[in-house]
Amino acid sequence: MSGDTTPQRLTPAQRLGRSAALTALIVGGFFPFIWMVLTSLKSEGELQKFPVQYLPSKLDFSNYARVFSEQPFAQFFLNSLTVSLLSTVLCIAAAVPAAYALARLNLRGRGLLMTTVVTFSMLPVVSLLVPMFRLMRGANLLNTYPALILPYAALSLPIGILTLVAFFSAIPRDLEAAAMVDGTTRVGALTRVVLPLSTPGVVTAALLVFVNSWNEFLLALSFNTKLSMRTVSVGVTLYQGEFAFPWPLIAAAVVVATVPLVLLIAIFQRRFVAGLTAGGVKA
Amino acid sequence: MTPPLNSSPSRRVRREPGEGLLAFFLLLPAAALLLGVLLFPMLTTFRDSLYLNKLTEPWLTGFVGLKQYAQMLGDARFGAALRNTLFFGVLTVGGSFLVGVPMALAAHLPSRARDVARVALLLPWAMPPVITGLIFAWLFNAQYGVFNDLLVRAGFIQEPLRWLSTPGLSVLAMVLTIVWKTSSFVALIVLGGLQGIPKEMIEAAQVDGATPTQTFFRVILPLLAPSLAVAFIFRTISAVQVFDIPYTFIQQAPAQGLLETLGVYIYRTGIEFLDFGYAAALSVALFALSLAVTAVYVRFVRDGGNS
Amino acid sequence: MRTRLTLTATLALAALGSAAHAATTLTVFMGSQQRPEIFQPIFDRFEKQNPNVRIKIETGGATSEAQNQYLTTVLAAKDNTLDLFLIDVVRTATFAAAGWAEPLDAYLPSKDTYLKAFLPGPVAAASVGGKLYAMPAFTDAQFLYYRKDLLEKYKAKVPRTWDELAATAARIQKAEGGSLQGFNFQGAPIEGTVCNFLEMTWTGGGSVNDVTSPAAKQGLGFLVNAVKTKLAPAASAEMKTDDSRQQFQAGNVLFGLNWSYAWAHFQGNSPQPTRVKGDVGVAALPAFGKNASATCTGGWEWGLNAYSRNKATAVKLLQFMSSNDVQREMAVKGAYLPVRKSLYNDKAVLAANPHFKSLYPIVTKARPRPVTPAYPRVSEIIRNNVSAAVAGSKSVDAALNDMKRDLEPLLK
Repeated sequence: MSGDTTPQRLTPAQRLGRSAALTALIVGGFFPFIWMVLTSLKSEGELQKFPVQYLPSKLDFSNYARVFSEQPFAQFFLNSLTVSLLSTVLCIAAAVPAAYALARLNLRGRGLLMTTVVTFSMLPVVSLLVPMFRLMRGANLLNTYPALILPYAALSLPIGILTLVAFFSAIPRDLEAAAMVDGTTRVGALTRVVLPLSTPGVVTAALLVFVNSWNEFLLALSFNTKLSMRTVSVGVTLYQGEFAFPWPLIAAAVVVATVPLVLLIAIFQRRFVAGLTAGGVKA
Repeated sequence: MTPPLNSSPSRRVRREPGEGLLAFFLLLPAAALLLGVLLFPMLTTFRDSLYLNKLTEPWLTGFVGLKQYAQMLGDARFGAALRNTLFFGVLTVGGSFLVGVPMALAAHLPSRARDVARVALLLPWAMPPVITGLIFAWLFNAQYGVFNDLLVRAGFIQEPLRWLSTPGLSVLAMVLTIVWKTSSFVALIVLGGLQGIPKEMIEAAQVDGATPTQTFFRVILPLLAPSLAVAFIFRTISAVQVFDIPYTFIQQAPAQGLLETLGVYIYRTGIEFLDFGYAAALSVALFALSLAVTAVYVRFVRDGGNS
Repeated sequence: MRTRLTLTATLALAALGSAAHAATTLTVFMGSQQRPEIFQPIFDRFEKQNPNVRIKIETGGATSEAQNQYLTTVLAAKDNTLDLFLIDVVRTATFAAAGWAEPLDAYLPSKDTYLKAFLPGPVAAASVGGKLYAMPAFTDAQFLYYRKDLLEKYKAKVPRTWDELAATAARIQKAEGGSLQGFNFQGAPIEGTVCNFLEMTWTGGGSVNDVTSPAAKQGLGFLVNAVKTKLAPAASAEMKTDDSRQQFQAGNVLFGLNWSYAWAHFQGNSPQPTRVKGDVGVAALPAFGKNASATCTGGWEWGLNAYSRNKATAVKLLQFMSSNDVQREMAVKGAYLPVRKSLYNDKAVLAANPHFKSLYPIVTKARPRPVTPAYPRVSEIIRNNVSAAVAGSKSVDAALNDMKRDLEPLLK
């Protein structure tokens, strides 16, 4: 641990605590996922056993091949990526200015405005399903990307805005004021001072929106019914039979649906946050 | 107590000229998106709650005012679902903070395992929700579930527990599943908040001789308050609406009376029993519940960094 | 440049061509679990016979819930994109009441004669108030699967009554030792459990209209007792259809209740290894005392979307799908149980599925679950109470009383 820039020297007890917390986090976060990975490598005959057989008798990767041969899973993946990325971009693009206004401008009834924003995520999606279907059909958008991008961006907008408000208001006003004294406009202050300083906030908000979109099921099932337009969240459920639940195959699909997503996010997060700690704060 | 509205010094700053117009333009894209996509479906739901619309008894139509709200008062199943929702809400929101905040702290600590820790923190939340309930139902299975296997191997139990078909245990199983899934969400927001805290402030506290515990409670926690409030608001809203995991569990376990949440009851009423009028009224009740809890906490976000 | 021109020309021609034929496109909805690959060649044949009809398959989610959710969304919005939908037989009355399924009577002038060749169970399940709201597509029923080898070894007969079943199961279970389950049924809160309960009640002379009758008590009591006396596994209240199938297939079960799909798995056409190939027998469910055997009608049927703009053409496809030829092909290629009686004696069908012959007397006695628009509620009430009783968290009497209280306003 010598290379670490631990902010404070830790006592052995604190070190132990840290190791315990990290171990708990890693084991807790990973175990159902590891169970899925192991399952995806087994044959179905190895599942219903007690005592449980943890390791597959032989590594069998054929389930991964079947994930792609039985359904156009690569297409599902591409669809999910497109839909999630674009809805994230749209949502954050709308959330940043709104959050800035709510955090920084002297608006009357700010609390009321913010509460109003949040109310847009207070009705269960299932009750919005039929009217939203009508809306999308009326706009001739069924079986297109916007049919999902628009509702995903809108449904995640409240959480996006509130997350950003929390981050924006944590930035000392003096920094902004200093910039504005130097002749920068409000918008300039937002893009040159506030945004760079709240990178972790923007990254967090983007992440929340992205994963929300990635995992949405109800709307995806009903709005985009063409196989070529299906997303991963619906895709992983397409391998079941009327009665049978082929776990190894479904586990493989879950792994395929989750791993690239998580890696992508981890890399993305690391880059941005690393960029921030490298030089952002003292700007 | 929270200071009364419009009293904090920051909000008494004089308005700059044109700030109203600027605010209008800054808020416009968000307003357009929210209103354009969600206003019609939301208004439809409010309107539907005032009309009878039960497709299995198609002769029941027409405006009935608040009758369907009155119906809820006499609906024992609504009462149970409300009780269950509150019960699971308190346990799982509380649980997700108890687990999620330490998770975020652990993942924020500099260590060689940090990247792995961050992936571990993301995984539960990235797991497709439709499958999460099924995975856990399988882990809790009485005949060949992993949890029973581990407990038997460790010598804690002799015979496998019937987690899903023993009412009390099925409640516990569901709480654990939801906490597992949602702690990750809390941790993500809190981790973001931690990363947003300028290092200088922590260093300053250390220079003043604060212990790590003091630093946490006196410096970090206050600065995290807005993030915690955001996490709390949205955890609460999602707990009030919780659907995926209870819906899966109810199909595995006979304790429907204990496991059915409002979200599940609304789904059943609308999508399965085709009573769209009553489902809309139930949705509005759920909306009111979320609103009541949330309005209080929006203040924390609003006042967060300013006070 | 040239390729683009050619492309435009081709497209224009294609457009002209389709306009000239005034092609009708029928959109047919079925779950991905319904094996669209078996239906596709059949639809292709229909297209060939009807050159101006195109058929498009649309698959919803794979689970019954996901499909239901999709259909509900689309039909509640009065959508006309789908012309036909394949639905579970229990949905007939709901779809009829909601005005989503068009009655077929007007399209079938000699309906009664036409339906005479069909099994009565699926027709009854597709009918509401004398009107036919769906066309039976393929049927199903629950059967008693038993281990021929074990019965032979212990010189036991296939049980005709539930008491015989219990006695035989107890005797063989004791002699075999180990983890052999004497009796396996579905007790989780699922549709199979509803059927198991109805069957236990029917075979005691009872009916769902009186669930506190001695027959219903005897029926549910039998299931609960089977768990108490360890004939059935302790976790029976968590047993789902496919768990039952896998248990039997692994050689752990003497007598098991299940749908027809289990047969092919037992014979080795399955992702799991089978230990019972050649050792499985199928029989009608036993009954209590001198009562008659009975079973639940399962299977799927074609609904005609009431908002469809292509009803006449769609009905033509329905008749094609229930014709002798197509029903035979589905039985041969997909082991679907035909809805036409004569096919249970058909050479080609029996060559592919020799056991169909012994299934015939059983499927002719299959009875529909309550045909009511409130079926989703009815099912929920039955399955939760039965499962709770099997789990031991409710007494038999309490479960049946609760059931009666909740069912009565629905089954007036």
